[in-house]
Order: sequence, then structure tokens, then C-alpha cells
Amino acid sequence: MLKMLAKFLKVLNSDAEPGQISLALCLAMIAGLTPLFSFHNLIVLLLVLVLRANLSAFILGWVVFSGLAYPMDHLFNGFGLALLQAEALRGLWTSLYKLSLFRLAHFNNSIVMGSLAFSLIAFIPFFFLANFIVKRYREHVLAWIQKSRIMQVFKASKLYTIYQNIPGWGGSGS
Amino acid sequence: MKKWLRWQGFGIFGVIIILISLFWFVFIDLIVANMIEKYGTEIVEAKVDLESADLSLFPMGLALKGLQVTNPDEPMTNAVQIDQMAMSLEAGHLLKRKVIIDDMTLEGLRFNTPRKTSGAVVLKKTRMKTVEDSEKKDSPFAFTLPNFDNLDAKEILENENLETLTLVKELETEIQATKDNWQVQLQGLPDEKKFQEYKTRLENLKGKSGGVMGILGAASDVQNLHKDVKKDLEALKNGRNLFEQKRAFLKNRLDQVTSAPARDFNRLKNKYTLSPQGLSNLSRLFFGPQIANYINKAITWYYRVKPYLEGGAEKGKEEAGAKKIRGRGVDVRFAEDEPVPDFLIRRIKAAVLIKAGDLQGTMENITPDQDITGLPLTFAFSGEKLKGVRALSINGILDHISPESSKDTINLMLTEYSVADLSLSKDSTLPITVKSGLADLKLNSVLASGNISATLVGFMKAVQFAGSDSQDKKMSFSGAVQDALAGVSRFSMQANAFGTLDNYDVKLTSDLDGVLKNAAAGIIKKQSKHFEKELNGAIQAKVNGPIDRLQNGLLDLGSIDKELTQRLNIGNDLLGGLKIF
Repeated sequence: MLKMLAKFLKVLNSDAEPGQISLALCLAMIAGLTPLFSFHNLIVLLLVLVLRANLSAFILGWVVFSGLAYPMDHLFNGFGLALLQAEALRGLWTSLYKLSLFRLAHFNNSIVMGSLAFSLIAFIPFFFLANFIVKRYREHVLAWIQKSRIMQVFKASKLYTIYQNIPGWGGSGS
Repeated sequence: MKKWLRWQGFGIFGVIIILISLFWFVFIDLIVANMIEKYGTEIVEAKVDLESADLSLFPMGLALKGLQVTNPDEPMTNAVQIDQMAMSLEAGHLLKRKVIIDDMTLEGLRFNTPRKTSGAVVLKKTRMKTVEDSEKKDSPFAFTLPNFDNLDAKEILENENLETLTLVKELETEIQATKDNWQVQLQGLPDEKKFQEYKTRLENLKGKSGGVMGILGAASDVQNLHKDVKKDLEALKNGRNLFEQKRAFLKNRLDQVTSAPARDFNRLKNKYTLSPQGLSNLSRLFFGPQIANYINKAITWYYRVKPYLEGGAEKGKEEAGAKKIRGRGVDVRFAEDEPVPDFLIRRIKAAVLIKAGDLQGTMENITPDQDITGLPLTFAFSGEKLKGVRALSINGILDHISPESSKDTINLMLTEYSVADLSLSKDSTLPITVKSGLADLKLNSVLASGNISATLVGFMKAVQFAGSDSQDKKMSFSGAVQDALAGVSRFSMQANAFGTLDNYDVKLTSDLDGVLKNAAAGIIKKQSKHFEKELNGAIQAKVNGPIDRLQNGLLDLGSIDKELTQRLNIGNDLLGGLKIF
């Protein structure tokens, strides 16, 4: 975990595209918040591998979002039920329900539907938010942190040694 | 574009998919076996074991070996054990998360087999309703066989609460309270002293003079005095009326108490001896407990199976938000062009192994969604020339297409079943065993919307009862019954069960009743008479003293009546004197 955190910090501090880090975090949000063994997560995995999303950011993000998913179950269940039982959408769901893919993906399940819909709705806002945060971090926080006393202590720690030894495999493709 | 794409990602994804597929091929059988054990155990609430599972893809099918389902009530016994199960699955439906099994074959299906290890599990949820709880209530056959030799009236009274004594205690308290209350009330009513004051006022008026004005004033005083005395007399009269009413009420209660010993006697006599109805229906004593036991077992299993016959209805409730399983969510159903249940076994062909041999049969339309298929579950099993049974057939229809108007029908036919050492009564005072015989049984049972209606007709021929060997018993009730049964070579009986699952009754008749009644009536009458005399004497001895005490207490209230009458007499005398004046 320490290694993973160090990798993420390295990516954050590197010249990797902020968009690649944000994309990885957004895809991690889908994989983490929705049930792991879901059909749509295969597509998420394919996107993570094919698009130049940062893998360290994806894995760390997936761990964090998976931790958040369990306490949010009741919210996803309620949201999913509201969507699946919405009168306006009944026709759409009824048509999709006849498709094997829809059933195989278990989209008629309240938690799958709730968590996936939530993740997809949050995808674009979260992408821009993460982008903004990474950029602001690099512009303002990084320089200040480098000079701070905490950073001086951190540089003397084991985590920093790990951090230093990691070859730079981030969004830059290096 | 190149900046955003990582082409080698396709290769990595392909490798991951191949690894997942390999894992699936290697471990799927173990995963299936574990899932069957896990979910089976959750459903049955007792351990489900499976030796192995084999999932094949072309054609799609599943074979299971060595399935054991523990009886939740007897953890060292398997309710069901199946040696081999083979089924064909519809792959197209599996993609839609529906398990549709066209054909299933069961080999070596056995019931109530012993287990090597306990199959008990720690229950995480409240157990389903069974009749164990209702068994604790009064059974329709709750009765103790009479044993006059051991009946001791005094001992019985030590352990029984008599209604008479309860009533005596209540009435004693009330009489005492009435007495105390009237002692207080008497103090508030006009007494001799008060009337003496009126007399003094009268004497004073008589001595008054002073012309016309004086005479007129005296007349007015006399009128006032007359009014005061009359008012007090009214208060006394009202008081006495109230007292008389209360005394009459208490007298009435005393009459009820004096008739209570007779009620106590009848209740205890009926409890410890045979009532005329019991005497004319002795067969109920023998067959009743066995039949009640079978019915209770059937009801217990019905409660266990029912949720799996009406699963679709339960799902509907979940959709309405009545129940949510954390982490699993709720599967919402939508209209389909050709609705198919989530789980369906169209046909099971089974060979059932029982002690007598093999039964062959089929079950059809096993699904928790009968409302979707529109077909009830049906089953039919039969066997001929079995060991000790000429023919056995059982068939039924479990119709839960509409759960509100469900109807389950089960019919059983047993021909020439060789009975050996069948215990009809295990009561130590009257052990009755059929040594040998041939039984024909026919059961027709219907459970419609929770109401039972079942008829069991039995006919036994070539019967030999185990006889009485004790000479002492010849003079007893049990001896008389056993002697009477020794001469019986054939008999029939009919049991009718009716009512609801929670509150049913069974009417049982047999041509044994007449035989038993004739044999036992004389002895029971003679022995009952002696016991009744003893019981009556013991009750009288116990209640006579308290009842006498009550009567004396009521007589004591006479002193209050006497006091009230005396005061009224004084007042009336005074009022008479005022009229003359």
C-alpha cells in the first residue's frame, strides 16, 4: 500500500498529463462503486488498459472507491429502485430487459443500476474536478510542500526511499 | 489520438480474459459445489453437503454426486440423500440469469438416512414457523389413560386448584369489606342519641308559653322538628334498603359457592376418568397421537416448502420495498414477451429407495414462480410387489399459481402393508401392540387457502394383537381392553382432519369402538364409582369448613340490620308522638 501511495505521489508530481490521472480516477470510480463481478467492469478494464489512463491512479482510486461503496449501498439501492421503477423509464427498461446483455449485466438490479448510474453521472464533473485539483496541486501546493518542514522529514523517511526507487511508469508512457 | 491510446492494452486485456477463462475451466466445478452447499445450507437452515459437481458446456449440463440435506430438526439425520443427479440446462436462458432445467434424473433418492457428523448450523435468522410451537398447545388428542389403581383423591386435591376455595376466598373478602363499610356508614346515620336530642327539643317546646305569638312560634318549631325527624328517617330507610340489596347480592354469591363443589367434582371426575364420550371413542386414544404426529410433521414440512412454491410473490413484496438484502439489492422484473421463471425444473425422473424397495416416479414444474408458468407442481410415485407391501402409490398437485387461493392435494394408497409389532398405544398403563396384520390405507388430503380437509381410511385384516399375560390385569381396564382386542381379527377406522393449519381437529371412528366399549364399560363403571365416592368425600372435607365460615360471616351482617331496624323504630315512635302533638 505504501508502494502504491508512493507511486501515486510520483505520478502526481511527474509531468504525466493531468487528464490521464483524472481519467484513471473516474474509471476507478465506476469499478469501485459498482459490484466488482459485473459485466460492465470488463469494459472498464478494457478502457483502462487501452486508453492511456494512469494505472497507479486507477488502482489506488479503485481501492478508495471500493471502501466507499459499502456504506453507500443503501443510497445506491434507493437510487437504482427509483430509476428502475420510474414510470417514464418503464418502456426503456422493458425493451432492454428483453436483451440478454441487459440481463447478463444485471442492470435490473437496484444496486448495480444505482451505483452505475451514479458513477456515470458523476464521471464528467469528477473528471474536470480531478483535473483542476491536479493542476492546482502542481502549480501551488507542490512548490510549497517541497520547501515545508514536513517534506524535509518525509524525505528522510522510508516512504521517500520507496518513492525514489520507483521507475516512472505513469501517464507519460515512459 | 496516439497520445490517448495504448494499443498494447488490447493484448493485455486478451491475456487477462484467457486467464479468467482458464481459471473458470479449472475451478468452476468446485465453485458450483461450494455455491450449492452455501446457498442450500442457508435455505434449509441445516448443513447441505455435496461430494462433487461436474459442469459441462457442450451440451450444457450439470451432474452432482453425493448430495446430503440435513434434517434441521434432527442434525444427525439426512432429510434427503441423493446418490446421483444429472440435469440438462438451457444455455440461452442462463445468459438471462435464468436456470431452466428441462430434464433431471435422480438416482438413489432416500429419506431419513443417518449422518456421520452433525449437520446443525448456527441460525442467523428467525426460523420458519413450524408446528413444534403449536404442539406445545393442547393437542386434539391430549388425554391420559385412566389408571384407577393409582388414583388417590386426596393426592389429586393437593395438586388441583378448587374453584370452590377460590370463590370462598373472594366472598370472604367481600363480606368483610361490606361489614367494615357499614360500620363506618352507621356512624354517619341518625342514631339513638340524635333521636334523644329531638325528644329534648320536643319537651322544650311543650313547656313554652307567651300568648298568641308564643303559640304560633311553637307551632313553627314543631313543624321544623317534624321535618328534621322525617329527613333522618328517610336517610335511615335508604340506608337500610341499600344494605338489604347488598346482603341479597352476597346471599346470591353464597348460593353460587355452595354449588361450586359439585362443579369441582365433575371437572376432576372427567379429567381423571373416562367421560361417556371418551368411552365410546376409545380408538381415538390409540390412533390419535400417531395421526396427530403425522399431521404435525406434514405441517412442519409444508411451512418449510411453501416459501419456495411462492417465491415470486415474495419477490413482489421486495420490489415494493418491504425487504432489502444489504449488498445484494433487489432484482426488478419487467414484462417479457414470453415470461420464463428465474428457476424451473420442467421434469424430474426419480428412483426413490425406501425400506420396502424402489419407487419410481416423476415430478413436474418445480418453480417458485408458478404464477409465470401457470402450471402447478405435480408428482406421482408408485411401486408394486415391494417388500412387505403389495402396492404403494402417492401423487399430488401443489397449486400455488395464485398464492391467495393456493390448493394442495396429496393422495396416498397403500395396499396390503404387512404390519409387524406396530405399537398403537405406548402408554405404560395400557400398552397395545399389533403383533401382525395386513393394512390397506387410503389418504385423500386437500389444503385449500390454509384450510385442511383430509380423510384417511384404514382397513386391517388378519390382525393379531399382543395379548395380556398378567392375571392381575384381567380385572383392570387395560386387561379388559387387551382381552377384547385378542378376539379381533379385522377392523377398520376412518380419520377426518379439518380446520386450519394452526388450529385443526381430527374426528376418528373405528369399529373397534364398539368392541372396546362393551369390554371396558363394566369395569370402568365399577371402578369409577368407587373413585367418585372418594373424590366427593375429599372435596366435601376440604370445602365444608370454609363454606361454614362464609355462612357465619353473612349471618354476622344481621347485627347491622338489627341496628338499622332499631334506629328506624325509635325514629318512627318519635314521629308518631309529633303527630299527636
